[in-house]
Amino acid sequence: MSADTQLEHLPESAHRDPVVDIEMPPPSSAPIILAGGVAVLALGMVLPFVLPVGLIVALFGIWKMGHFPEVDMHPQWFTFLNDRKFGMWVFLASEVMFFTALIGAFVAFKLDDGFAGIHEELNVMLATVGTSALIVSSFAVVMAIEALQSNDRRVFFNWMGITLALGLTFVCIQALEWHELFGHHIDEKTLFGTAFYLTTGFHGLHVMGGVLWLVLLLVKARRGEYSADNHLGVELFGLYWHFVDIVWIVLFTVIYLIE
Amino acid sequence: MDTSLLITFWLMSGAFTGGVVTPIVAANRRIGEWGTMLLGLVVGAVGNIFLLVPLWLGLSRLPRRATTGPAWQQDTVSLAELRAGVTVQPDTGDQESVLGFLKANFWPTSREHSHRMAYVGVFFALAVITLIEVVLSTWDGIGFDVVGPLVALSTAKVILVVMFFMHLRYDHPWYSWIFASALPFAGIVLLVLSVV
Repeated sequence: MSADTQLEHLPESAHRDPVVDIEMPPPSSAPIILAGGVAVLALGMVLPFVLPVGLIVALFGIWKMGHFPEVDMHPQWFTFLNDRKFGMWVFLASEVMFFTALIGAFVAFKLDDGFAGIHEELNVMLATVGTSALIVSSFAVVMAIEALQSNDRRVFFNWMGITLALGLTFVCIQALEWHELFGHHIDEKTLFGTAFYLTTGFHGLHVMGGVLWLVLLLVKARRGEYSADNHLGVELFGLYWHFVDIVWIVLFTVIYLIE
Repeated sequence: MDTSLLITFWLMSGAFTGGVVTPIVAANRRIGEWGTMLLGLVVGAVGNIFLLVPLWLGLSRLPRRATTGPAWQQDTVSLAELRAGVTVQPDTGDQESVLGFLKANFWPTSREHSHRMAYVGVFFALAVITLIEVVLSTWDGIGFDVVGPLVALSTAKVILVVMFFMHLRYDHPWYSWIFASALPFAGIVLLVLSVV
């Protein structure tokens, strides 16, 4: 079949000018509800009794956002790049600077203070299990995207389910580690405590954010939003999740492995 | 780690793994999803992975039930094809053997430009490097400074994830440049920290 004949068989929408053909979705309150829910969740770290309220509002926001379509803007400049993917990489670049400041501060404190006797308090084996969970979850995401690109929905859901389970497992392991250290009187009043809780806390918040994003993805996927022809939303999540994995690889080495 | 923490970790990890994985294993079998979730929770909490694996193997041998869910959840048809009215018989593969079950549920179908084998290779490389790192860090008999090798190994892991899992090796080079643009600023942050 020649190229012209192939074009004749394309649907009418394919012949339209992509710049003119953008259909903007109607206004939605979902992002505001989700942001409010996450804010209350964050407040729940100080006031634990508001945690369930924040979780319910955030999950409601996610459910509402699951009904919100993803829109490509079809920019006229840099057409060889995808605008949403471009935005994601810019965001990740800003995250590199953010975490460099945190990890750099940790290393500076470590070199200055020495953190004597701390290595015996840290549970390297527990952290190794957490690291393994994140590495396997990263692998699960790439396999899920591979499955989606082949339209293997069952395989896609299975790998995404594993990612969700491992993400939550990592958060539980972090919570255990914090509990253990607090039990040994290493709190925010010590120099090591300040550096450790700040760095691993921000990383943990990123993992929790990723887990919420993953729940949103699964809601959208159950509604049939993604397929081999439309998987960018899952790919963007994958980029974020791998980045969180990378940050932990560095943190694991700096905090747990190097004495 | 004290005993109460170990027990908590055993209960939490087992219940969670059982609750999540068991319904996946039991999907489309002659047993309810909610029941299998509850079963997985209880068995996982009691026996963790040691009881869960026999349970999963047992469940995977149960007879299959007729598919009732929407086609796009079950088979290999895209949403676009589904909307166009294409009907495809569910491709369930050989689920009788353990290998067949794993292949049908966890191995994506081959396609053009598929990177499945590269991902598996990178995953094993990451696992081996992590193992070497932990051994280097915890083994007392090593007679040299391990800081350099540890930094080199973790850098190798980061590069593997960025190039393969984050697809920079296959994507347009501009994405790499955007990501790399953060490095000079990160360098300035480190420089300031080292001076202060």
